[in-house]
Amino acid sequence: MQLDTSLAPAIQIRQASKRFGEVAAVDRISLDIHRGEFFSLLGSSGCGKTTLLRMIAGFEQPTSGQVFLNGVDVTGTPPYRRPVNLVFQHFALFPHLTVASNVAFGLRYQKSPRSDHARRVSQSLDLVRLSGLDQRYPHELSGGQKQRVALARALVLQPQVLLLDEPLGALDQKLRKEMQVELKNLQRTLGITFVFVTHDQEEAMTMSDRIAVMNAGRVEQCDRSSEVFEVPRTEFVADFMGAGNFFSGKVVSFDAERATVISPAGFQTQVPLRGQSTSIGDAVRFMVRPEKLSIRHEAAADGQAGMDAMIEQQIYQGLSTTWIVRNTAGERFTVYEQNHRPFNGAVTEAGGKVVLCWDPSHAVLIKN
Amino acid sequence: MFHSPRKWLPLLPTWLILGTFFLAPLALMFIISFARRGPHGGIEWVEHLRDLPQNYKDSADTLYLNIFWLSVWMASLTTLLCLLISYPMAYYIALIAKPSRKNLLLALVAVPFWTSFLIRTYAWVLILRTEGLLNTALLHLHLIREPLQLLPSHFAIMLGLVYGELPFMILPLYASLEKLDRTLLEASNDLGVGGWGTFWRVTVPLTMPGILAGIVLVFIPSIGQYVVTDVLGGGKIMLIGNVIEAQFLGARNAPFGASLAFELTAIVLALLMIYALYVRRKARDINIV
Repeated sequence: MQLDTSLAPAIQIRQASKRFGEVAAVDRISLDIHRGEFFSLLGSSGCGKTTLLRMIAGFEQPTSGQVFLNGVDVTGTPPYRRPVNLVFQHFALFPHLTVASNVAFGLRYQKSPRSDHARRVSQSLDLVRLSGLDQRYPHELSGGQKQRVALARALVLQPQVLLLDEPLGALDQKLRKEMQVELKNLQRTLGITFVFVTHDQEEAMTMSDRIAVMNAGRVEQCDRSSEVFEVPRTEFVADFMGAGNFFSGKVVSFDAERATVISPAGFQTQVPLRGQSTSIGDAVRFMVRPEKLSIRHEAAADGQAGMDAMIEQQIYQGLSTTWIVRNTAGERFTVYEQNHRPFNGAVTEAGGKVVLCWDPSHAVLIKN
Repeated sequence: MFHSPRKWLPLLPTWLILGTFFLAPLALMFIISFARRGPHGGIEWVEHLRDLPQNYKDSADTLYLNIFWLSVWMASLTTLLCLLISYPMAYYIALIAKPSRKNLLLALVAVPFWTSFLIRTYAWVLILRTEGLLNTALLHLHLIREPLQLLPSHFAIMLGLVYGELPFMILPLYASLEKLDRTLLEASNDLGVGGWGTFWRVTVPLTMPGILAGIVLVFIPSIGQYVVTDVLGGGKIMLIGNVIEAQFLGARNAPFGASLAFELTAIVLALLMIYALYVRRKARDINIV
C-alpha cells in the first residue's frame, strides 16, 4: 500500500516514558506510525504495549516525553479531545444502551447535524456487517457481535487513528482468524491508521504492515512484518517471533557483506552482516529458523553451511516433521521439514549421524 | 411445600418471629383502626356498619392533610439532601480513594452506629441551643451579635434527619459505584464525552439501583420518624409520626392513631410499588440489577 509520507506521521512518539514508582512501564520510546498503516505493538504481558497505546489514547500521561498526532503535540490533551478512538479489550459496551445507542453515543458531541446521526449509525453497523441488531442490548449479543459493535462505535466517529487493545483476545480461535482477515480488509477499505496491540506474533504478522516488538518497556525492533520475522535484530525478537536455532562463534575475517565465523563445534560458515559492524575476534551469535535448516546424510552441498549432528528425536506432525538434533558440543537444534513425499517411517533412526545444512544467506547475525 | 423440611425449616424462625411480633400486631392495629375511642380512652367497637370508616373520614381533615403533606415534603427534602451529599462522598470512596484507605473511610461512615440514635440527636441540641457550641463559636468569631434561635426549628429537624440518615444513603451508593466498570468511563471519554457528560450518561444510569435503594432506605424512616422532631422541634413542630404518637399516648385515641398509621403505611407502600415496578422494568431491559 502506498503511504502518504509528505505529511507528518499519524503518530509520533518522542522519548516517551511512563514510570510507576521505580518501574518503567514504557522506557524512552521513540516511534513513528505512518498514515494509513496497520501497525502492531507486539510483546508479552507487562512489556508496556498497552501502556503505550493508552498514552496515545490519552488515558496515561507520559512521565516524560511527547506524543504527536498529525504533527500536533497532544501530550497534555485529555482523551475526549483527541481524534483517536480505542477499541477496548473487553469491548466496554454500555450495558444500559442498545446497540444503536452505543454506536450513537459519541455522535452527540460531534459537530454534525442531528439528522445525520441515524444514517451514520446504520452505515457504521453495515460496515461491520451487523445490521438488524440495532435494538438489542449488549448482553443479548455473542462475543463476535459485541466486538463488531465496539468497532462500529469507534469507526462512526471517523477517527484519524483507530487504536485496538487486544480486541480479539476474548474470541475463540476460529472467530479470531476470521476477524483478523476482516479487520485487515476494513483497514484497507477505510485507509485509516490502525494501531493494534497483541501478544500473538502470528496475529501481528497476519495483519500488520509494520510491527514494533516490545520488551521490558523498550522497542526491541520496529520493522516490516517479514523483516521482523526473517531478520530479527536481537535474540529476544528472534525468539519471540518463532522458534530459532542459535549458533555461537568467533569472527575470523569479514568484508562489507559478510563475516566468516568459526564455531566451537568446529565448523566454519559465513553470516551476512546486513549493515551491522563487526571486527575480527568478536564473539557473535547467529540464528537460523528451523524451516531453513535441513538434514542430510552426506556432506553439505557447495555453498551450503554444514555441521555434524546426531538425531535425537523425530516428531511426525502431518504437514511437517520436526527433528531435534544435537551437535558434538551438546547444543540442540530444531529442524522443520515439509512432508513433500509420503512418509516412509524409516528416514533416520534416533542416534543416526547426519549433517545439518543451511544456506548461509539465511543466517541472521544477532546483537549481543 | 411441606414435603421436604429443607424447604420450610430454615424459614421457620423468621416466620415465627415476624408472625408473632409483626404480622399479628399489625392485623390487630388494622382492626382497631375501625373502632372508636371509649370515654376513658379504651377501645369501643362501632355499632353500625356505616361508622366503620369514621376514623379514616376524620383524618381527611385539613389539619392532618397538612401534616401529611409537611411530612412527605420533609422526608423528600431529607432524601434529596442525603443524595446530594452522599453521591460525591460514595464516588470518592469507591472510585478516587486509594484501595488501602477504602475500609477506613467506610468504617468512618459506620462509626455513628456505635452510639444510640437518640443520644446522637440530643448531641445536636448541645450544638444548636442558644448557648450551644455553634452560637458560642459564631459569637466569638463576631459573625453574629445575638445568638441564633435555632431550636426549635424546621431547619434543626432537617439537619438532624439528614445527619441521621446519611449512612443509609452512602452505603448502597458505594456498593453500586464500587461495581461500576471503570473501563466504561474510559470508553465514554474516548468517544469524545467529557467528565459531566460521562457522569450523566454512564455513571448515573449504571448506579441507578444504588440511588433507588438509598432513596427507599432514607425516605421510609424519615417519613415516619418522631424522635428527631420531638428532640429538635421541641414538641412545637409536629410531623405525622408525632401525631400518631400523640394519639396513642397523649389523646389515648388508639383507633384514630391506628388509622393514621395505616394511611402512612399506604403512602409508603404506594411509593415502594412504584419503585418495584421501576426496578423490575430496568432489570428486564438491562442486566445490571
